[in-house]
Amino acid sequence: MKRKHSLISTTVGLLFVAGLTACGAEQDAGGDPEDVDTGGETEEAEGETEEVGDADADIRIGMSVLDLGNPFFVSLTEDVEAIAEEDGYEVIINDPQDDVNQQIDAIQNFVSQGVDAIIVTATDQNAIDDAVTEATEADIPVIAHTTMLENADAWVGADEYDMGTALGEQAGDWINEVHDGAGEVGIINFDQIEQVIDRKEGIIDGIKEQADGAEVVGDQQAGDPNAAYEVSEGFIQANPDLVGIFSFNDAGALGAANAAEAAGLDDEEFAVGGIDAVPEAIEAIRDGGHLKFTVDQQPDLTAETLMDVTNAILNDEDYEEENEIEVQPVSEDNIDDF
Amino acid sequence: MSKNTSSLTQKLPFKINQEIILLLVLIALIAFFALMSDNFLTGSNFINIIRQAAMLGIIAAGMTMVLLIGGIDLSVASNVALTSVIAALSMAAGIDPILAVLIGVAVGTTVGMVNGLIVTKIGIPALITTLGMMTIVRGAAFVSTDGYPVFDFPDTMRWIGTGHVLQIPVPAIIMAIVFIVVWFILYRTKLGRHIYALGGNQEAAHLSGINIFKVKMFVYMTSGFCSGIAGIILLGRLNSGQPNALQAFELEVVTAVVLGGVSIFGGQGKLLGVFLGVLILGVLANGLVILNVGEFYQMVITGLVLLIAVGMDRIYNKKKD
Repeated sequence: MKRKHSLISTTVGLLFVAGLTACGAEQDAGGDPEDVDTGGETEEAEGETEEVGDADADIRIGMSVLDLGNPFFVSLTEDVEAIAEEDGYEVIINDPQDDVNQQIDAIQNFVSQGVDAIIVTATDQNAIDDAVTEATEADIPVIAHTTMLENADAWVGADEYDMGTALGEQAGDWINEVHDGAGEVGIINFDQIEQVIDRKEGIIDGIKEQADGAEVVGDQQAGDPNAAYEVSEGFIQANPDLVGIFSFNDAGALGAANAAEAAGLDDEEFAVGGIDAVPEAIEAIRDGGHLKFTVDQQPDLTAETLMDVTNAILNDEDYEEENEIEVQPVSEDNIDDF
Repeated sequence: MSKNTSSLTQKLPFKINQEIILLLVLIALIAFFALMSDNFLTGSNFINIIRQAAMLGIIAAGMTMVLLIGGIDLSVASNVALTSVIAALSMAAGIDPILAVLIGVAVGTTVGMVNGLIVTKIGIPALITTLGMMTIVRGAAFVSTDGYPVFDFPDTMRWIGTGHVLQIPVPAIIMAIVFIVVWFILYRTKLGRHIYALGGNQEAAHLSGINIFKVKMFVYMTSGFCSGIAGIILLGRLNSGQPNALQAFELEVVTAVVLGGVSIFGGQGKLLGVFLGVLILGVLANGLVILNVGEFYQMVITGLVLLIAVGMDRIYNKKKD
C-alpha cells in the first residue's frame, strides 16, 4: 500500500515537473527573477524560449532581452515578431529575467542551434562578451540593442544618459516655472543594472542643468510600482518640502504618483516623472495629476531598425554600425500624439 | 525550554521569551530611527508604517499557519499578483467592483486549494509543490495580461488601498481583522490545537484521530485566501493590476514569520511574535528609506536584524529543534 502510494507520487511528480518545463517553454513572459530555472540546464534553449513564426522558415533569429516583466520589452519583442512574421522569419525570444547567467546560456544555445542572427540587450556587457565572441566566431552576426558591445556587428538603441536628461530637463523646467528654480526632489533608481545608472545620472544632470537650485534629497532603488510606492512614502515623510519624484522607469513613477495622491499632495505643486512611455503612464499624463512627464524610447521604431539592420547584414547590404534611436520627451504638451 | 533556562534568565522576575526579545528589538529600532531623524516619530509616519506592513502582515498570518503544520507556501507573492490582475481584468470588463473583489479572493483561495490537494493527495512536499505553483501562478498572471499591467477602470477600489476610517488606514484595519481571526482559530478552537499538533508530530496527530487532510486543506486555502486579500489591497494601492508585482516577496514573508519565532520545522511559535516580526520589518524598511540608506546596505541590515533577533532567542532560551 505504502509502496504503491510512493510510486504514484513519484510518477505524478515527474509528470508535474515535465508539465512545468513545458509551461516554461510556452510562457517566457514570466519575468520573475526568482523563478526556478526549469529548463535552462538542457542543451537546447527550450526551457526559457519561445519560438514564433514559421517553424520551417529559412531564417531564424535569436533575441535575448533584459526582462519581459517590463512592458517596454514586451512591446519591443511583439513588434520584432510582427515584422519577422511579415518577412517569413522565425524569431526565438529569450527572457533572461535580468540574469546575466541565463543570458549567456541563451546566447550559447542560439549558437548551437545555428541561428542566422542574434539580437541581444546586454544584461552586462563584459560578462556576456565571451558568449558574443563565440557567436561571431561561428559567423553569426550579433546586433546589440541599448548597450553597445565591442564584438557586435551593429548597435541599435537610445542612449541611456540622453533618456535620463530628456526626463531631467522636463522636470527642471517645471521646477523653474512652479518653484522658481529650487526644490527638493527624490530619485527612484535601479542601480542593480549598470546601464540604468547612466540613466539616473542623466536625470539628475538634466534637472540641475535647468533648475540650479534643485537638490536630490533621496535616491532609492525600487523595481516595481509597489516598491516605488513605499520608497516614495518614505521620501515624502522624510522631506516635507519635497517638490517631485523622478524615476528611472514608468513603473516607479506610477507607484510614486499613487503615493503622492494618497499623501494628499497638491498636483499643481508636486510633479512625478518616469521613462518608457508605457500605456499606463500615457493615460495618467492625459488624465492630468501628479504624473506629468515620461520619455518615449520608441519600441516600434527600435524594432523596425533592428530588423532593417539584421536584414541588411544577412543580405550583405550596406548598413550603419551605430543606429541611434531618438528619444522623445512626453508631457501634456504633446500627449495628443500618443 | 524551561529545563534549559540559563542562570541569567532565572534572576529576572519574568522569563525572557521570544516576544519580549522582539519587542525590545522593535523599541531599539524605533529609538534609533527617532534619534537619527525628526521625521520618523510622527503620527503620519506611524500610519505609513502600518499601511506598508499591512500586506506583509496579512500574508504572514496565513504563512504562520502553514509553517506551524510543518509546511511552506512559496506561491504567495505570485498569488497576490495573479489576484490583483484577475480582479483588475474583471473590473476593466465592467464587472461590479464588489464582485471583482470576490472573484479575486476566490482565485487566491483556489490557488491555495490546489496547493493543498497536491500536497495531501499526490504527496509532493510542500516546498516543491509551492515552488512549482509559484512559477505557474506568476506565468498565469503574465499570460492573462500578455505581460502588460491592467489599468483603465473606475478607481472605486482605491479606497481599500489608500482610504482611512477614523484616521486608521483601511489596509491596517484589514490586517487587524485577519490577525484577530487567525489568533482566534489558533488559540480558541480545536482546529488550532490540531494545527499545532500536526506540526509537532504528524504520526501522533494521525493516531489521535485528527483528520490531517482537512487540517492541511484548511491551512493552505487560508494562505491562498490571505494572498487574495493582499492582492485586492495591492490593486487598491496602485489602481492597476501588476503581473510582475512583489517579485521575491514570498521570502520577505517567510523572513517575517521566522523572525517572529515560528519554527520552520512546525509546531512551535506564536502569532504575537509574527505580528512583532512584521512590525520590525516594516519599521526597518521605512526608517532606512527615511535615512536614505542605499538599497544594498538595506539588504545587509535586514538580514543582520533577522539573525540577531533569532540568535538572541537561541542564546537566552537554548531552544531545541
